[in-house]
Amino acid sequence: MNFKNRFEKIDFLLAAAVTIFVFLMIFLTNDSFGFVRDEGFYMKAANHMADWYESIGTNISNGEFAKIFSKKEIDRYFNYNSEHPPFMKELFGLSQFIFARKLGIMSAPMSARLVAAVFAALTALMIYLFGLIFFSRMTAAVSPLLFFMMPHIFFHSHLACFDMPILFFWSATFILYIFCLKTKKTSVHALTALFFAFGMATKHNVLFIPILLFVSWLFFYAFSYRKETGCGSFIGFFKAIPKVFYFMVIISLPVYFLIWPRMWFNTFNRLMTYAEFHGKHVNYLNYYFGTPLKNGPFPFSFPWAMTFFTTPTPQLVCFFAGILYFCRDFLKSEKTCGKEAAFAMISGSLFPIFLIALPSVPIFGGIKHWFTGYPLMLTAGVFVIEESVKKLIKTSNFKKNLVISALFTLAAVSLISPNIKFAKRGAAFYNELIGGAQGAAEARMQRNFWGYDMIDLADTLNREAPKNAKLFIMTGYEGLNPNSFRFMADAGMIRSDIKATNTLHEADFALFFYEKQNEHVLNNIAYEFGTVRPLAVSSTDSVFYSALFRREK
Amino acid sequence: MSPNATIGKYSGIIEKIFLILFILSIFSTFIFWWSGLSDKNALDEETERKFAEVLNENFKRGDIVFTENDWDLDFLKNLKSGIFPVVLDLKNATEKSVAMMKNSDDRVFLLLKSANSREFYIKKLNLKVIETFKAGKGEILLAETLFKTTKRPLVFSRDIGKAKRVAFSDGEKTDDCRKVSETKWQCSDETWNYVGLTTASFNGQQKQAVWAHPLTGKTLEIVFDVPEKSGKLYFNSVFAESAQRSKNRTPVNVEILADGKNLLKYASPFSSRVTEKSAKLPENTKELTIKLTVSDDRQRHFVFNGYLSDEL
Repeated sequence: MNFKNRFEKIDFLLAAAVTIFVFLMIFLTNDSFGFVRDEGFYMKAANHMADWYESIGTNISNGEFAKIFSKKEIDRYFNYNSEHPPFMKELFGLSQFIFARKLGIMSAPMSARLVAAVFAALTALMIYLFGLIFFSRMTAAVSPLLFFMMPHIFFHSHLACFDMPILFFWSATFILYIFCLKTKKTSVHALTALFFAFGMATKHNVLFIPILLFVSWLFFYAFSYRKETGCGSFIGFFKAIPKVFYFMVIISLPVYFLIWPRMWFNTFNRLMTYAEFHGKHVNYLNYYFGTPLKNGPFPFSFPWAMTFFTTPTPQLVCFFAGILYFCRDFLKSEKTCGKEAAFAMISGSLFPIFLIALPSVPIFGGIKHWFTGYPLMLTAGVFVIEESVKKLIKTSNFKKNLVISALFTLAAVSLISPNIKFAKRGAAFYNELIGGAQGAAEARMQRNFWGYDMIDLADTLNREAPKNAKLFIMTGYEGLNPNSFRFMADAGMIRSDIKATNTLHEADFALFFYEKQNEHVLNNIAYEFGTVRPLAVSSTDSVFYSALFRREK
Repeated sequence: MSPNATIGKYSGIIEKIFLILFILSIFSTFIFWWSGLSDKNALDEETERKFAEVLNENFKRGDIVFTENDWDLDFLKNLKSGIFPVVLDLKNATEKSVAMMKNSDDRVFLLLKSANSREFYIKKLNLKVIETFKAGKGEILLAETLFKTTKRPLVFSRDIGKAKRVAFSDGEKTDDCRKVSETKWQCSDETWNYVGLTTASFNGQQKQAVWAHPLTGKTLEIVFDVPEKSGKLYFNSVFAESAQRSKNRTPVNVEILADGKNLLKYASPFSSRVTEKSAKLPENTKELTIKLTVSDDRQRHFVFNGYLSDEL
């Protein structure tokens, strides 16, 4: 992993084009998806945050500065959804405060999704820079586009959740660590630690990074650095430790606590509660080749197979090629620092998948919990393909670039169809290796996730439902979160007079989100409504995901 | 040859392999997603129309519809009201599960994607075919099961509406549940607080059952008159799949009384496996009472099914 290119004038243009294109693609389609289960919680938390910003203004104008950060005030606004750190929720709230409350140019839910679009754009920029600095300009330009042409990625990029932001922080921290290895500049190490702090304040996934990197550094220290640097003594060992690890203690931790005011009070207990929540996280039932994965031990193959079957094949080939590139780099590097950098890339790419594969780790749902390393292996893979073409074709550089451009353009064009088909339900995408949506349904894989898939049903509901109609939203069965329902009404996706209910008996209409484990709900609806005939169905390639029913008795 | 040269030699070959794979992946993406291959196994319009048409003309209340294809359900759009249940689990169905799901002489409809699987299901489910309908590329079997079952004068799921009384009591006060339909007793305004017909997974098989969520500190009592010729009780209990995520592992205590005398008493554990119990009824039993209690009612999505048979 060596620095190959410098950022030149043309890169301003290319990077800006890629970043703006991705931002617009995500932001302009942000009403394509219903609100997933988690968004309901985070958007509600964003309301609290926006209230907090309002209260800061009020307290300042009243001269009550101390009150702003009092325990009572902090607990009031930060206690909700305290099982996750607040950075993203603070941004969602800030966006709501500015764009919804002060400027009034968008609804509160969409102001949260604006932040998601910004992080998608930042991720595109990160991939561009990673591709440019370590690989080539072609790789830099192509990789972000291929990355966002994965239906699962496109889907998650829209959501006001933490998954794409943590993907950004995860991958970027590994990239920055390589900078730390290559340069002794204190400022780079300090900035990496500062950046890492924001990752910590986004989601706990990144807490594994220092452990992973430090253990791997220790390994390389024991076998190489110790002799190379002559730092074999006790004091020498501490001198040899890269500064970034010290900064993770003296910069990252304080900044993390600064971002999370709730942790200023009852710190130990609250940290323990936070750790306990994730340490004892519940398992989400998933169907995997016809087997309901309810209780551990879970199959080691689960996240590997899901990655294999939910990634479009061109990008999947790039994943394998990328891992091969890092492995080759590891073997070929003569300097220990080069080996460590390559190893960091391998662990950054694969550790998230490996972690979920452990039989004792619960399954939290879809691929979003292990896709954090995808940008690293995809970008390297794109470079492998580019290099292969260059080596194969003996002609001028211009013609070589033309062929490479044509090849990647062809790949992008081929991906248009699956992306359009799953434009409203990216979380349900399966590739052709399992037979697409139909093949996955035949194999009895989990069909969809997070109870969001009702955009195709909303028009019929809005048109057919009488005033103040009640809609069964199937919350108890991985259906729509009541908060998400409320925010969909706020965003104008559902008529505001329609009320949500979890009691079929009192419902006039019912949503049915298909999952194998919830099949019986279809007949519960039929017994209650007197019919199994849907008013509207959402489907892709004839595979049905959700349906709307109307009471007929 | 130095190690790096060896790596270089092999990585060159592997790079070429990846290039070939990448080109192949582009072709496969084009072919699969652009040519209609991704939608090739869907039921054609004629089959869907015919499925609905046959069911609309021949379905009688009590019949059960099983579909071989559990993902292409467009035929539902053309069904008349009153045609249910539609069970999407034909592939996992067994002779016994089908026989246990239906009531006495009711029939089953099998909606098959093609005639190829006809013999397989007839044999697997031990069916006597009453009539076969051609439906486009598919086929519909109207059949009855040959699985021998005893007569069941009382089936808890089927007859829940005939219960003499459904109530919660705390020892001092009794709150009767309100019968809101032939299949349901509503016990409060709470979403889950009812006793009524549902379907749930019993060791992987979807079956009709009674939803009976107990409450902390109260006893849920479900009382039935015992029909004549009832000889033996079969009682199966389990937690619905919606409860499986719960951290609450408290069992539900089941007590069944025949004319006030203890017939069956056990704690139904928090498990995805079904607890199956049976007991002989004392002669001339007039009344059967099912009592359910729990010490912590969080997510106790308790369901039961079973019946009284004419076995002596």
